[in-house]
Amino acid sequence: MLDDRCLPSVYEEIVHRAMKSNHPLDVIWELTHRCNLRCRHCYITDFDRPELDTETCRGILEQLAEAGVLWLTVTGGEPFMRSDLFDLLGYARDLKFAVTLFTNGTLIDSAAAERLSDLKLSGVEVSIYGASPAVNDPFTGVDGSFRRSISAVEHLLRFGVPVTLKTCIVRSNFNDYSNIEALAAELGVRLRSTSYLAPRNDGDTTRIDACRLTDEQVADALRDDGAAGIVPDLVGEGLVPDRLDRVIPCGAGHVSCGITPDGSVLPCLQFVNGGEDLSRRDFLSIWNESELFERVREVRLSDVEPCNRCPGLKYCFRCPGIALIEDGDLLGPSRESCRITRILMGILGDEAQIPPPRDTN
Amino acid sequence: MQTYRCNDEIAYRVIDEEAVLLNPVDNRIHLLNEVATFVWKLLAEPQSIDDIVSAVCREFDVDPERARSDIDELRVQMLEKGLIETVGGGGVDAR
Repeated sequence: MLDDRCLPSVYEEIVHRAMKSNHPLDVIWELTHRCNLRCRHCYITDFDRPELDTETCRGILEQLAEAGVLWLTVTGGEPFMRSDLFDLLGYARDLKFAVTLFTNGTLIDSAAAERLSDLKLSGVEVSIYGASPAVNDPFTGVDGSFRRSISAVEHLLRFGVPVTLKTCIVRSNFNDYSNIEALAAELGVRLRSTSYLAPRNDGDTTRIDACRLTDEQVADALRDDGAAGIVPDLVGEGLVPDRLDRVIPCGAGHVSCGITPDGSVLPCLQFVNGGEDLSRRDFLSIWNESELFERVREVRLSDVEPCNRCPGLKYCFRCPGIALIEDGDLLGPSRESCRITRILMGILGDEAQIPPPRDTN
Repeated sequence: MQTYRCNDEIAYRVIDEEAVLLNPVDNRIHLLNEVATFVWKLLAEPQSIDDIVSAVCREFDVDPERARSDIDELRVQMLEKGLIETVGGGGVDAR
């Protein structure tokens, strides 16, 4: 009667069922674009983007619960910039969401940590960008941010809050990654890392190009087992499905979606534009009837050109949203994914040529 | 008589008549079949095993003895996994 097989398979079964009926399971909600840090890689262009008031947010939470959404990730900007954050987190828990909070931690003191503990969140993910102030703080642009983030982690752990340390591996902290791993181990927390950076919401890649790992760093990470988790999360599983027309490139719009600070619903926050506003229609209507969601749901890997015939397909991890914002085409390649794949193929001695990225400028 | 109710901290949704439960203590996910989901919904209010057995027999075409045995097994599993809790007195809750 009660099926609780090991976590991945039960979760996969739930996602599989939800995919069949396009049931919304998972929402990531940017409550605000305000932030007290100015990280170099940040995708936010408008830190003063209009945001919804408390009552409107509570109403949206009710709509999400009614629609059957279970997993809710609250993020920003920095969510603690909102004075009503605890009100909204508390209401989300009252509505029986499984809530995860993304934060830089710098605004979490002991009292806040205790309040978070009482809410019984599924987790709090605290972002850092180095294992010391010397590496972290120049990246965040705020002196003292590292100490405050780590202090937050310590407060949260003292109150029994499940904490994950999170980092983006970038050019400036690549050589510090082993220290970040050691720091996470010392604190007794899981580390989640990626080197996959999102362009700014206006498509500008100037800043992230300066942050992205160099080809040499990518190659070093791919060769070095100890660097697992930096780049390998960007590569495919080494399999090419037989029927690309049956492969859905991404769960966005099928079981998950994002909400912007001003109430626009998108298949994924990477889509940035084209969402429908919750002031005009309720969440379930948008989820079921939005043209953008319908278009995204129709896409199969066989539609993505020239990726569908690329010899590097089996190595490639491609985010459709990033392909859209950075390269202008939801159904085209992501130049960053092509770069990583080319490097990996070189290391593996696979001499097949992948098509060059299209110039969309 | 011992009564039970849902652990208020459990996150859950009912999807296609089956409940998906997530315990934030350990982040384990539990999938309930249709009958267990019916029981879960009952446990929004305190219920005794007798209450639950009666309700299940009314709702589903099941033999009362078989229902009691299955529900008791479900009770034990859900207590062990922290999904439900005992309410008030009623004696030691022994397996």
